Amino acid sequence: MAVVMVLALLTVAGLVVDGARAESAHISALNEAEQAARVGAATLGAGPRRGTLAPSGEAVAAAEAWMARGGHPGTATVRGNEVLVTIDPFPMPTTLLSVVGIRQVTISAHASARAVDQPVTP
Amino acid sequence: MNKAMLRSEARHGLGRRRPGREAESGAAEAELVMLAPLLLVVAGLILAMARLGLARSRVEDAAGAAVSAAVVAPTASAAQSAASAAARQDLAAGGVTCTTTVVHLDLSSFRPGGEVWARVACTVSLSSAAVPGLPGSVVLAGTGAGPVDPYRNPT
Repeated sequence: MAVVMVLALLTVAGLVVDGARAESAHISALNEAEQAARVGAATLGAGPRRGTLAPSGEAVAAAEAWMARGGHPGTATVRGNEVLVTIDPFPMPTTLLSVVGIRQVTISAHASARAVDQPVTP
Repeated sequence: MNKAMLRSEARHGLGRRRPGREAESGAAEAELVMLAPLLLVVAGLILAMARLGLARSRVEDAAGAAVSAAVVAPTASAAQSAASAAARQDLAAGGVTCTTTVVHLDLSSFRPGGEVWARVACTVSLSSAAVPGLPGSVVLAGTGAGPVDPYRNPT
């Protein structure tokens, strides 16, 4: 009875602690993806003339370089004037949940940004 | 035999301390009564960890908001005030009450094509962010970085 109760409490505590850590890691990855998409869209918008788009390869390279520097590599694609970014799913080792056999959780994030030919208002 | 008699027999069984079903279930109940305060404390700790963990994610989010506000600002000082305002607004929207909020920006490469790095540190009292009545406070911090917009309007 006591063993069951301790295991149950450990599981609940593990879900809480590691769930919150996963949420933080996810938000951090999301921030990184958003900024990668922004740098990609900025590159895409810097075409040879005003109002033209740069080659999509340059935008993809800029976005992917940002993610690689941030420590979580990912892939970028261009669709029209939009840059779509996906952080490659990466594992986050758990702390308390490893006691009940869950050793890691997978974190991933997506974001997108559009190249616009307008002044940006903060 | 009616139900009342059955119950009284069971009580006698306990009274004689005969090792049987009734005695065992009594021991388990006593165990539960002794464990109850401990379980309450553990439940309180779990609640505290949950609320602090959630607040921690909000601070991470606020760091992202600070970066997003800073990278489109026209000047370094505008970046600082925009980032600070954005982070505070984000924390308030997330229901995190900080006793002190520090938004630190690294603006050493604040130029078109450069980058901005932000750290948001929020001090929360444990009694407001974890469990009411708990003394002490803790600093929750989050960081973020972003490329400076190449087309922001310099003033």
